[in-house]
Amino acid sequence: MRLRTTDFGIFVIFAALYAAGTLGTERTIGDIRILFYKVKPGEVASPLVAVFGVPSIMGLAVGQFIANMASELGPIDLYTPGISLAGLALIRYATRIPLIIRCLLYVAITSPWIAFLLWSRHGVPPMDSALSALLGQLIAVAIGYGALLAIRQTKIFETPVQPRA
Amino acid sequence: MSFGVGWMGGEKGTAGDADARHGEEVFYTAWPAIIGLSFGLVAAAILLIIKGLSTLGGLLLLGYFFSLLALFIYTEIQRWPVVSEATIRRYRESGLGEGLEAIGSAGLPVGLFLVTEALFFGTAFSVYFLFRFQFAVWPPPGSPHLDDLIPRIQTLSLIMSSIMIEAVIWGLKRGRALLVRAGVVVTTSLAALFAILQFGIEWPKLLFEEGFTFTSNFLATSFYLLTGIHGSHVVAGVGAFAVVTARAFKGHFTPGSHGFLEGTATYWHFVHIVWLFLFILFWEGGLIFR
Repeated sequence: MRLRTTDFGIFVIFAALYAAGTLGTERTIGDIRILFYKVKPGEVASPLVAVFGVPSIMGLAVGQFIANMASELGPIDLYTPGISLAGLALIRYATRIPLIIRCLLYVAITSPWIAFLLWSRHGVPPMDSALSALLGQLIAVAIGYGALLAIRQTKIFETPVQPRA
Repeated sequence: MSFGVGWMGGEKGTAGDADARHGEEVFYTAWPAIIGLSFGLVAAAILLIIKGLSTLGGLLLLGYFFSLLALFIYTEIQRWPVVSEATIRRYRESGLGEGLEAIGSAGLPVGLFLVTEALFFGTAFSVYFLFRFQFAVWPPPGSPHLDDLIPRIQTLSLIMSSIMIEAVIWGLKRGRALLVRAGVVVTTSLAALFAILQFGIEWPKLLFEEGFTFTSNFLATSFYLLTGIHGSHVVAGVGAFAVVTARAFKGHFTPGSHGFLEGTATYWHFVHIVWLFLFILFWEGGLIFR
């Protein structure tokens, strides 16, 4: 696979969208909490990997790692990008499954880990942890899914490239 | 055709067969050597200031260096239109055609350059972490709270500039001339905004209003070192984008030949991702985990 400039650009832009989106939103409009879980706004970008491909997957993982350096869930949250990576790869590659189901599977993969962190780090009861993580992730991914549909409507990726000559 | 006479009045001659073939005379100039050697003055100035030997002496040396640099740039600006025109014409007339500007030609050199940059920043971050983790409490007691409003605006400007320069490349490949021209102007402006916010607003505020100087504590030293290195890369990026803008308006880039644009965009993305780490470490409490 040949690495293009645009791939590197997408990688960096997605890393920035996750990291700065998460940290910047918190500092600008305050924490967004669903029950006991502080939602990471960067999760909104997750469904977009279906369109932007591998660079966006790597970018979101790196962005999540950067954002989690300041996570209230502690240093163990630095492992979270590894879990997310699996979910993001599923959104991108399991193309036989409808996209909306892939997005739900992403939520199903990531929220148990987040629930575990809420329970182990903050002592939130298991059921409350599970519900908080599930709802938080679900809302973020649903917003991202809407954004993806809007991007697809623009047909931006279908505009033909001019000949190189 | 003459490239102009060097300010230092160097010896007149030809720069070899290639130039002779084009009938272009080149006037040798001592400027590159002078500027190169003058970086020794910068090193000496930094040592004098950081070691507290003579701040005035250091500032004088820096002033001398920047005066030389300004004089050099002033003389070079006189020649730019001629040199630029001749260089572009030689590209086009050579057997390489537009090969030197082809996208693929930018890949390896830019990649190698970014490897050296990654090693450079890697060393700087390693030093930071090596010392930081020797502190029992971080940030060190007495450190001021670093307000993150300006860095947040800077982060936004970087994100917007990265998206915009990719939009420029997208538009160039699809013949959207207006998008290309507007995009490079916006990108250059956003890059300049970042530099102005850092060196024109934030640093003076920290240095002169809050007394947070290079020698305040280790946080201050590492802060100015890392953000200074990064900021100098941003300034270089602004310069590169200015050239990109000028060339875009002259119509030098085509869908198949815009290596300089792609190289500059890649460099800018690299500068962007380094900033994310600086942003989290210095302003957002990265790796503190209270």
